[in-house]
Amino acid sequence: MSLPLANIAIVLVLGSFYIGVGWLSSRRNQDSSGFIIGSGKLGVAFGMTSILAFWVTANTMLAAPEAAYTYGITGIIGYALAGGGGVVMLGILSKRVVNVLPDGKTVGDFYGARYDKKNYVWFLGLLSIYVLGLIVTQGIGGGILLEAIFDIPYYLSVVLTFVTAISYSYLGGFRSIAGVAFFQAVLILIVAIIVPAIVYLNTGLEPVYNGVVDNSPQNLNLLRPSGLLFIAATIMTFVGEVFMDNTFWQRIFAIRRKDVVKTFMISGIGWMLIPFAVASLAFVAIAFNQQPPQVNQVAPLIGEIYGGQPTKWMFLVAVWSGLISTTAGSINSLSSLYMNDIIPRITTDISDERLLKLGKYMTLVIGAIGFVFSLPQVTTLLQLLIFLGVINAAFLFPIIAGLWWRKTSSNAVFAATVIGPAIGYVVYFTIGSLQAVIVSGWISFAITYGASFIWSADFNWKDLQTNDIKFGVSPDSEEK
Amino acid sequence: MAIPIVINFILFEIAVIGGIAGTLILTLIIVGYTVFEFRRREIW
Repeated sequence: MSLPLANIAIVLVLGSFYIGVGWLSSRRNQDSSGFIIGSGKLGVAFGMTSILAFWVTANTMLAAPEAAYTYGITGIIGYALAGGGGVVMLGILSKRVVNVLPDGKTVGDFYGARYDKKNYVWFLGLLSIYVLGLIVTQGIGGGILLEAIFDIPYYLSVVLTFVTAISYSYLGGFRSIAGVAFFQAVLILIVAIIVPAIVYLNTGLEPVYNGVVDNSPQNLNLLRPSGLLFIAATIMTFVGEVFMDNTFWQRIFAIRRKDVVKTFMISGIGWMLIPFAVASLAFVAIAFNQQPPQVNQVAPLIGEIYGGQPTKWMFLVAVWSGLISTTAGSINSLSSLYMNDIIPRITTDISDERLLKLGKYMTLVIGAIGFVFSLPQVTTLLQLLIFLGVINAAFLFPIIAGLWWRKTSSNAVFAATVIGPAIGYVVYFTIGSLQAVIVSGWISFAITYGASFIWSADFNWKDLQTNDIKFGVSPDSEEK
Repeated sequence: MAIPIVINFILFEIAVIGGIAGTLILTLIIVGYTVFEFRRREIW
């Protein structure tokens, strides 16, 4: 079997460029804090691109068209509301976050101080599973995309994706990621504008609309039952993902305080529009009976058929860039979490230099784990996201309640985040995946607020600002 | 059984063109802030 050497060369050049930018960005990073949140003074531009590059990726460029192909217009609406809405909501809460945690760096700083040890251990465990799962979705996505479009063998594609992401994440941590993200986000946005425009200029909008009406009118139905279920489940999944994922909390603390809310709001609102541009390519496939070999390849297939070779390359460059960004961002967010939250709790006597070295070492380990689990192509992106969504949904309301309501009790939250996913996964394997996400989220809501109302705590917000944080030990807080 | 609400062509047009145009505006906002913050040395 001959390898497409020219295509591999393009990927290598792009990957080398990102590693080069990552290396340049890393030269300013000399300490562990820089590895976790950079300078803490990102402006709006780099703040937005770091959010968008992470959040606009295979899960948008491939899974959103997959959702549109499966659920029609309701798939697009669900994806837009869920992804963009989550960022907007966290943006609204971000002001509260920086007020109660002025010296925070990670979501662990909040969760570990707000709730007790058993909650914190449970949260870190499930968050680790979720982030590793997210890394795997990117690895699989990268492999699928490079094989489908550029004929690069799946395993080689996965290797190229992870080598690039791990390299610049290792070099400078968050600084490198933020620096590279700027170029990745701009590339992604340019392609999200140009590719659909080229496709629709070739096909026309009316023929696409008429083709969908003729072939599959339920895809244009706003009240499609399966689509409404998808909207409800996706919103719960993605909003929970945004609230739980340390990647977003890192950015809350990395962006200049006066610009945090504005940055998240513009990013979230802008993000909502991207699925309408990209995911609508699935309608072209439906209208003209173009069936992709795998459903998550529908967008690149349409790009290639109706836009030709240049469009194909543009799509590849943008989506692979987003994959790299999400993979690198996730690896860094998890290693940052361990650096900031676990290591200082194990040993208080560690130099900053050693902590930085450990962080880099964990970057390599986490990347390697993600790489190994990406090699077997076990599922589609959307299926894995929804599977993980059962976990995300369960932590949404405990985090919101923990930020605003001092009566939220640790025992109530622990019960909610154990029982919610447990019942959720029973529903997942017996009734359906989307129903499982909704059930998990609302059970968690009911237990968090209901149990806290009955057996309320009296949390002292100043405990969130204690530098000497211990597991759940707070002399001013008491469970009633 | 619920009566379907099928979007008409105008709404379909708005959705697709709005998505493309909105993404363009977002890009211009990023470019604008980049230039503005670069001049003020507030990029990062």
